[in-house]
Amino acid sequence: MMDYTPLIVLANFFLFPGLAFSFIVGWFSYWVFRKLRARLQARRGPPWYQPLIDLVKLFSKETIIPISAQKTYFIIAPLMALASLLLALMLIPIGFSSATVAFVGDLIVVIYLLLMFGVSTAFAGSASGSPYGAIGASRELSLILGYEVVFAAGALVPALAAKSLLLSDIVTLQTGGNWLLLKFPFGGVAVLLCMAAKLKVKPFDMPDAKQEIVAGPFTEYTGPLLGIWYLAKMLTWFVLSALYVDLFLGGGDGLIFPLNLVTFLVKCFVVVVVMTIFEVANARYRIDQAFSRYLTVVFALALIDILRFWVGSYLGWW
Amino acid sequence: MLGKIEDKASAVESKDIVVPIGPFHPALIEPVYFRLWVQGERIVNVDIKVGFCHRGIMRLMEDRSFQRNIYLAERVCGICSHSHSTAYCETVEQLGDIEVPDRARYIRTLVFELERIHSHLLWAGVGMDLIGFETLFMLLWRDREQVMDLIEAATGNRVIKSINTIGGVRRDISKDMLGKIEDKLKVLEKATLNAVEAVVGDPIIKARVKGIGILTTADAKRMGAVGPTARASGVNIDVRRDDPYSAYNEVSFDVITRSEGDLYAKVEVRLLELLQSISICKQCVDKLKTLGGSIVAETIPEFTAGEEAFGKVEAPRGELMYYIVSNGTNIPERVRMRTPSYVNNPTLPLQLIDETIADAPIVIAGIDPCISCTDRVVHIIDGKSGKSETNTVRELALRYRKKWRRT
Repeated sequence: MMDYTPLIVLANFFLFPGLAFSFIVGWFSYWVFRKLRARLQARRGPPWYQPLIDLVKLFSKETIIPISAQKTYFIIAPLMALASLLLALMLIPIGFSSATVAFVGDLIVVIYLLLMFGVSTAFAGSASGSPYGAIGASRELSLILGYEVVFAAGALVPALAAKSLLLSDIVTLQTGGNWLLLKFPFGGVAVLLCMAAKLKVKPFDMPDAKQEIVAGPFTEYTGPLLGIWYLAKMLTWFVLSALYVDLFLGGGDGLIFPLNLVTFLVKCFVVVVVMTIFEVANARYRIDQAFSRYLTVVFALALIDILRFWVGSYLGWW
Repeated sequence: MLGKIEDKASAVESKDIVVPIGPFHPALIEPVYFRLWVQGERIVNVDIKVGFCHRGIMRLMEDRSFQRNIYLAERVCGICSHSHSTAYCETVEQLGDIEVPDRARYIRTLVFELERIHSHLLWAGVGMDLIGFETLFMLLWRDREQVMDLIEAATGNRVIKSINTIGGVRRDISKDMLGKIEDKLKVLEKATLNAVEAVVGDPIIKARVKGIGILTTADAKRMGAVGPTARASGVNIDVRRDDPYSAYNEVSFDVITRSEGDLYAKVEVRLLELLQSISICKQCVDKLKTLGGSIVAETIPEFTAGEEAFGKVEAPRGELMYYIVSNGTNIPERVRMRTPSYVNNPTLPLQLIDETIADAPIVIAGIDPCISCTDRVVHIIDGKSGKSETNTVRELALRYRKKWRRT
């Protein structure tokens, strides 16, 4: 799939695996999250088209930018978040063993691009000129300080196992059911816990804790700009679960065309379901509690597997 | 009292961010305005503003007959409507020397405890929501539906019970219905035990509420805190035991106290009170099965001018007090009520300072504040000149009645 003619690139960006495809998968991932959460909480939950009509409503409304906001940055922030997620999608193998664009070190670039979502959230919060936004931004940044190193360390475990920073190598290594989650469960759990913070899943959703700071960084957003945030949020569900499936659950398992995509998407939904159960079973930590837990417990999990890998390579375990 | 708060509050600097909680905020359903001065996430000073929901009920009561005022008293607070009407009726009964029949006293007690269960479950649900535990919030409120059904079975209404009248109650509970209530109480007890287990055993809930929002015993006594708020701070008070009304001198129950004064103690006190309330309800149902007699006193009361009476009950939030002066007619000269939140709210700054913003909503909810029953006299401050003016409700009513008539 290494064809870089303009038409193919555009199709990749906007159709598969870009905007159109990932929007549909993200829409259903987010809907599964909301519906399952509601059912587990003894509620009815939204119908399947709810994320779409929410978006349609937001995009048909007026944009209001507060006087106290930094106008340029206020507008740039959601676009930055969306763009970095779409770019990350180009680098993550979706079902196939190779991504649209693949080069050595693309795992590092994906980790940076995913970080951009959190950073632009903080950016939006500080630009919005609202105290809730400012506190949301500061919480987001402290949370990033807590989980980002751990996330990178956890994501490094599969890279160490494959002896490559190329995502397609990691996927190819796992063909035939050699899922890395089975070999490195601690690293897998550590990355999953960091994803909880990236997806704002409880107990790590303090940057937009509605009972404390309204909507945090998104408090002042309205209309299409809020719609872009909403879209970006839906895409993160897909992008992060796709990355997790590639790193730990064997991607498309090297199957032939329609099967690999189906397997991949089923695995993505399993990740979404796990995150939903995580959300439903927990209360929210305070920001200092979350910070210290990331840098102690979760970091320790990631380090255990890095150590296990090194010890294991000397002793010839794998 | 104020000096203490000022000692605790660091000097507020201009660079400190003011975080407004309210008057309209997703965490607080009622209109109240908390200004939190924060440094980073830490709260350094607090200011409470109430008065967004003043309805002039005490004034209105001076225009209406004793009988019609039951209607008003019930509407002071939706959650503790039966507490208000019981307190009001008991006070009027003292005033008119009315003897309430036994059966009516037991029905009052039964509904009273059902109301406490409903209020505490509601509080626990809101509390869980405020620390972000949405699931337990939903499940607790699902279980609360059981007690709402019980209230409906006992009184015919779900929220405003409308069962009290002067000298007794308005509806009897049939034997058939008592059996149904007994069965449902068992379901409720099971659900409550599950809820207690889920809340007390959860590590994240413990991490969020243990050692947060501490109100010391000395502070609780000095600020005059009442109800579960005081009992969680080691003050052993309960009107039901100390000054029994209705049938409370004939039922047995424990008064739950904790000495820590933090949020965890408040949660524990309320959850264990739930179990005590269920036990009281069972005792009442047992007694009502055998007890006969009428449900309302037959005597026609006579009121003498200048006579006054105090009545107090233990509402779910604490001691609720009514004071009524008669002028010899069927209309009270003066009705004054002191609601529990009126004395519990001022303890909030003591609990909030030095906590984080993340804890502010749950600390505020920890005393289970009821805002609209707290609002009393309107205090108007001119923003430009800083001139302040305190109005009695009578003055305001006259002023605005005139305006209304002109247009």
